[in-house]
Amino acid sequence: MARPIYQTESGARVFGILAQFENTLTLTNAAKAVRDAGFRKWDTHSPFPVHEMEHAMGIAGRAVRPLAYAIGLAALTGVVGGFLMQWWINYDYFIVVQGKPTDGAWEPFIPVTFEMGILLTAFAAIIGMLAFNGLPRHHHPLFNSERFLSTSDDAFFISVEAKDVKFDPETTRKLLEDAGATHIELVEE
Amino acid sequence: MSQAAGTDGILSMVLKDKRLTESNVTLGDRLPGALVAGLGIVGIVGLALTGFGATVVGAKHAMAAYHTAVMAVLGICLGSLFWVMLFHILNAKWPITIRRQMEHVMRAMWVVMILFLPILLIEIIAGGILFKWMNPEITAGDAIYEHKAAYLNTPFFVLRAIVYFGIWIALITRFWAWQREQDETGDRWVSSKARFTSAYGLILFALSVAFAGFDWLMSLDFHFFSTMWGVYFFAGAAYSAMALNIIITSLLRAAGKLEGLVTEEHLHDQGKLLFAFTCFWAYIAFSQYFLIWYSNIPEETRYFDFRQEVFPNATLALVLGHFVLPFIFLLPRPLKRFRPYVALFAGCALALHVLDIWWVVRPMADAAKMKAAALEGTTAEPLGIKAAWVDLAAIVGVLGIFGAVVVRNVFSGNLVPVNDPRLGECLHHKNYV
Repeated sequence: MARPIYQTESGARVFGILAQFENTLTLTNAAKAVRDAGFRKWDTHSPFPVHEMEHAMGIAGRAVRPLAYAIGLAALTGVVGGFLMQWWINYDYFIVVQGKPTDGAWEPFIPVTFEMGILLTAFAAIIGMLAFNGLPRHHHPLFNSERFLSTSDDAFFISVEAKDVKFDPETTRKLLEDAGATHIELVEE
Repeated sequence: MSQAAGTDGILSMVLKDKRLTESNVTLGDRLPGALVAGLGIVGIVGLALTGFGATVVGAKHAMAAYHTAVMAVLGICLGSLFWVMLFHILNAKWPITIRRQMEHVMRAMWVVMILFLPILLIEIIAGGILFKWMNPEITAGDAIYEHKAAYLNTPFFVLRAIVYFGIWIALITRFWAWQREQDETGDRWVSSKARFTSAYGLILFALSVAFAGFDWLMSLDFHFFSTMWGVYFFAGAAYSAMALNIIITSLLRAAGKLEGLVTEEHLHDQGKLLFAFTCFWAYIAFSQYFLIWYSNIPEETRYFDFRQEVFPNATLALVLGHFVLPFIFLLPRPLKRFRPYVALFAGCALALHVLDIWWVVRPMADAAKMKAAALEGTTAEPLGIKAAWVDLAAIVGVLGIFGAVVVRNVFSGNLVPVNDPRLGECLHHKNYV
């Protein structure tokens, strides 16, 4: 079944619903209510990290696991690739110094192997973090709301996207109202 | 609870916490005399067997076995002192409930000192059994020794040993006296004093541990030198101290104590530190090996060469057991939060710490004989497995005596510092990542 397209009175498409909360306590409780209602495409916004929010949102562990695997894979690639690269470089062109063995000596390759592991891990962590966060990004529909700008200062919000299968302008608004929202608005795409 | 609650509002709130009931934070008056006596008897029998081994297998081998054991428990004690000072200086909140067990271990330093005394006396009286540089016949005309003679001579050696133990016992006595004071009076400024003392204490600790490592382990082969040695000894010490701490807290949890005080969150952090020091030790050990390998100076390379040639299995066991396997098996997060699993690896870590010291000390019992044979063009066999019972007797003996003292300490009072001002935050500790 195709999802209905919601529009505001001016005819613009609805991105989602934005609800403001007074403090972290009401925000956390509301997040639990939204989580229990089964929503998937939604988020909470606060000026500072709120401990336990990942549990309240039901994304504890789940959110970072793909990134962790990506980093682990990058580390392994760095270690194996770093070692093989040096082995290949030295395979038929030995550099003989100080009477060191040229066959079967693994010692000189360890520092570069280690550093390649670190380098790719760091790249994967930084780039992966940006990618999983959907960054860099020039604009987000939520910034269409004047009120939302204060989330970097002193306001707490929950946004629920219209793309969510459970989304409905009336019932979702009701849910957030019951959860203690002080202000609710529809945000245009 | 027998301790005064103090007048501070937050503190009394913490003290009302239902997790801090007397049955949860003390082991009661039931000091298991049988256990302490049993460990003590095991210790004395072990040491007697070591002495017997000295007559049967050889004094040098028995001394090496005993030296290994004493250095291993010294490492555990020093590591515990390090962690206590680190927790104080960082104002650390999460380890408050595990710190007391560190203190109980470091408090056993006096017994290590008593165990160390025979080494010093026997070596001096016998004129150098393991410490060859004490023997003027061996050092005569030795150009390398002559350059080191100003440092490496018996009077200065004894003086330094007194200074090292003086520093350690002084620091340990102060920290423990403050803990007792805080337990009784609830004076939270005691924590501040401990923090200040840790600042210079850590500097004294770093220098004394490094030089003790040079004196008591590196100088066994007085031609050998490695500037990384002090750090190497320290890495093993901190690793084994954290391992013993995990074992003690796990045993207390298994006995139904510290319910809700040492949780899987604390275990997770203990596991992380165990993992970190596995990596740190490997990093240090490989750096030392690598520099010596590529600089290729005979005095240095023969240290590794001899151990790789004569003790290949122990060398491989050290690489695998001290780094590769713990690295792989302690890496996953969920496993670090599963107590039996972490406790198992902590037990292995302790065993590998002893093997690490053994690998440093024990080859020296064979080195001189084999070197002399090589000079004459013949070969001499190392003592091998048939003499291993002396090593085991010394290690079990010293661990038995050390264990008896630690058990007695653990039963001596509160299992957590109930009046520590940071206790409240420790009880709410969580790992968010």
